[in-house]
Amino acid sequence: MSYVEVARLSPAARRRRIMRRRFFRRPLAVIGLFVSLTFVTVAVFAPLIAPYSYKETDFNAILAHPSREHLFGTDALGHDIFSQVVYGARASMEAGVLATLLALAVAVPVGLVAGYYRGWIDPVIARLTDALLAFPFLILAVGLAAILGPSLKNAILALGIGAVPQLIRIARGEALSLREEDYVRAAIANGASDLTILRRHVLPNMMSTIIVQATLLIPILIIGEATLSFLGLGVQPPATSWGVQLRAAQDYLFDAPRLAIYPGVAIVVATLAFNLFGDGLRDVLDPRTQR
Amino acid sequence: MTAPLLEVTDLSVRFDTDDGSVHAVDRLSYTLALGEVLGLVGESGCGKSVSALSLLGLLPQTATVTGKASFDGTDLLEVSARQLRRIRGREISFVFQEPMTSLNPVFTVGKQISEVLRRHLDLSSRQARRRTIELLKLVRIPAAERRVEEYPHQLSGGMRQRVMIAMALACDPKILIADEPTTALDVTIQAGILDLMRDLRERLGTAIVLITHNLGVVADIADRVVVMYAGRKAEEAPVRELFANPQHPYTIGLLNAIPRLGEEGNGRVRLQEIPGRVPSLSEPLDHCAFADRCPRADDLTRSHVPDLERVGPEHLVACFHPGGEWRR
Repeated sequence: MSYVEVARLSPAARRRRIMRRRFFRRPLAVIGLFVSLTFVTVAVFAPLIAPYSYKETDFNAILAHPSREHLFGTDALGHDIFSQVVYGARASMEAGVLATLLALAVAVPVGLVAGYYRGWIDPVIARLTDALLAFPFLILAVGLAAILGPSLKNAILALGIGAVPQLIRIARGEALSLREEDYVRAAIANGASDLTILRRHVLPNMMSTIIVQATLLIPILIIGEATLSFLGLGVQPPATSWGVQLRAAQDYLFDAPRLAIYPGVAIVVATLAFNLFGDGLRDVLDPRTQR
Repeated sequence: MTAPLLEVTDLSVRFDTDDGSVHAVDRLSYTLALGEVLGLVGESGCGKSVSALSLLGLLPQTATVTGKASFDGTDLLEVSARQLRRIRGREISFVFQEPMTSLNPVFTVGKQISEVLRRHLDLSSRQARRRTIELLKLVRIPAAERRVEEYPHQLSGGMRQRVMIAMALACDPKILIADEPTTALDVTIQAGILDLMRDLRERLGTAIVLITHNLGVVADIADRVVVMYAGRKAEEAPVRELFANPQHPYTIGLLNAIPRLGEEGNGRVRLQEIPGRVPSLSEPLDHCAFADRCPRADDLTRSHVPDLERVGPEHLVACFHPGGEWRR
């Protein structure tokens, strides 16, 4: 695109262009983005990609070594490991994304109200989140999952709720500082209602921080899902996830370590990719880290 | 004289803090006529901004406001929060000191002005846009059609202040309160903004309360001046009268402190300052607030609070020993 054409773009489009260019100058962030997208695609199109169903057992090939029929070999029940890993991406992506959305849906409004209105509600919410933050995230999620009962849906619920306190803290902190901005004062002086101010002035200005936090939360929740499933609190066989596969692999750690290695590597690569993507986004969007 | 547009009577503002209460404004009264420009002058912390903010309920909750402020038949200090929101930006508008940070960075300036229009006047988005461009032209922003699409960070400080003024004028308010609108701008831009405000007053008939610490600005555009000191009115007079015949030693001190070029040997004139500091306002004073800094102070000033006395037809002063000359 020539300079003349760039100059003719609307300011909003120009801003997006600058952001995009800044992001694509970071090789690690770009790799993170593409690998994350690959995992999401694999999760969505799992039935098309996997050569076998995750339930299909081949009793002629128990604990088989990798071969042309079974790319990654098979497990003790004759499941094709490649297909298992592919289907496992589904549970992980679902948990990562849905639990993050759930956490956002709860935490952002609560944080906004606490930080913007202050009053008696703020210390109540702040101390409550502090108390919850005293528990390590995984302990909280494990406890909640144990109460709710084992299933993928409940694991997502538990992970989402477990992530709420830290997000509330971030949203509240942002609202707390944004309410003191001059443009908020100016909006009040112009007759804006609290709702307008929250919707038009406070929320949009905290969006970049929230997006970055959400992106960085996804890998944490992917690991969380794997952990819960590993402990038997998440996905239940015959449905599968990387955590379920790791759990099954325990008994064969010395005879067939590949059973653990393939899903393990999948977890590492997926979380690393989301983290790199999130870090890149933060560098671009979060004003505090701009150089 | 017709009934004033705004009549402030015995306005007091007290802040209750952990270290006791602060009497920021003490029984301040003034009136504002239709289309008049009133200058509210004083140094930092004299209560000039606080008194204006209190009119629209814009002070933090630690503030207690008493007195009366009747505008258009209603007492601004008594109306409900709902009514107040309708008055803010519609009848009485504010322009703040910091143009650099008073605009929301994530929306275009056009959107932000339209927002005010749509809120108060119930315009469609197309009508609001047309009116927004008109307003930007009114405040003399060149290429208004293009500027509406720009974000605040693409505008200079002077341009942003023009946008803020456009936003304040969006709904044709009866009163524009400008709180040091030019302080954050450099001098040539200041002149442009003042010029603009004078022009708007003439064209739209908007009454303006101009809060400033700069007597030069007041001389430029105000009709009448209220000089405040330590939360109280020290002197009030029409602008010509004030400059020709200042009575309060504080006013005289302020006038003497205006820097000027040249004269007396290569312009090496020491700037005249007012010695001493503003008294603490944590308790009501039992003597003249200016006594510690006043060359005319005596036993009377140190033991009694002076009342406002009329020394001319429209000239009030709160001093036991009014009168005097200033170096011009």
